[in-house]
Amino acid sequence: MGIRDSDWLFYFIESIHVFGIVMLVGAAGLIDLRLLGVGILRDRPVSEVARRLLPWAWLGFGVLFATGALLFVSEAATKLYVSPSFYVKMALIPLAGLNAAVFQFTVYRRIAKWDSAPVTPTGAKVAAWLSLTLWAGIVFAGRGIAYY
Amino acid sequence: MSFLAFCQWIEASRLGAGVRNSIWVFPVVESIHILGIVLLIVTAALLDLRLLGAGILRRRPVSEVAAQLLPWIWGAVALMVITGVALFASEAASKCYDSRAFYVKMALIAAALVNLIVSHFTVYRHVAAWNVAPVTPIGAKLTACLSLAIWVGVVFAGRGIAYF
Repeated sequence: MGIRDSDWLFYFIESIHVFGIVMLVGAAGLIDLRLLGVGILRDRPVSEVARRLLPWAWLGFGVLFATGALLFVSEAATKLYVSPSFYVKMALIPLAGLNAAVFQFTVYRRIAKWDSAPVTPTGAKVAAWLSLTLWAGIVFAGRGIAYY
Repeated sequence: MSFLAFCQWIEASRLGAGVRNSIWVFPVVESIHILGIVLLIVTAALLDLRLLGAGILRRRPVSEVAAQLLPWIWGAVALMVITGVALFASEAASKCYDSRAFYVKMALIAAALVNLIVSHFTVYRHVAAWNVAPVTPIGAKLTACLSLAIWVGVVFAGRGIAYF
């Protein structure tokens, strides 16, 4: 039996998708707070925070991609193709990836200079705010798929 | 007043009608509820991992980690309660009252609070004795595992309200 025909299976995959959100947005959020120079990890080197938390973010991304693909398959043409929220979500996800990549190849390249500095560079703060905003937007758009 | 009467009253209230009748308020409140889950589970898990002697904060004193995280945990709980009450009000009698998942979720939340309170008055009372110990007491590990398991259950039960 396919995902669409089983209330139980769709529900289960959706719940795992929520845990993927917790892992990815949680890990990314903690890194972002550190980049803003606030939060419980503010007195730890940025490189250590990134090294410890990026595996969680990637694990969360893997879970989200796998469960997201399964949810997509079950209602791709009937629901997602006609949902504006779905396209907004699919546009915001690459933007979040692009933001992380740009940060990694610009500000983070000179991490040795500000790894433990009390104030982080403006570029790091901008990347952190963008990341927080984009991930929140992705959650809103994702939930919106059920309605729009 | 019976629980059903309460559900009917809150669903008919201005809050219930307002959330239900708007095309965007329900999804927005739901999305904030999800971001609240992220905040609550991440902060609770950071504390639970520390109680297990693991995670990124494992070298910090337990009392310091708890003091820093508990305001966030309670803030997240408040956000969940506020958004949760708004969602509940919009479909209390028509959906939640008949949903088994809803009652499971409420029971699990109560269990999480009991776990937190019990640990506060038992194992955490003697925190000075194991605050920086490399290995945490079995009671601390037990309460941490219970907390993690219960919050996972709360998420499953919460998503289940839409179906069961």
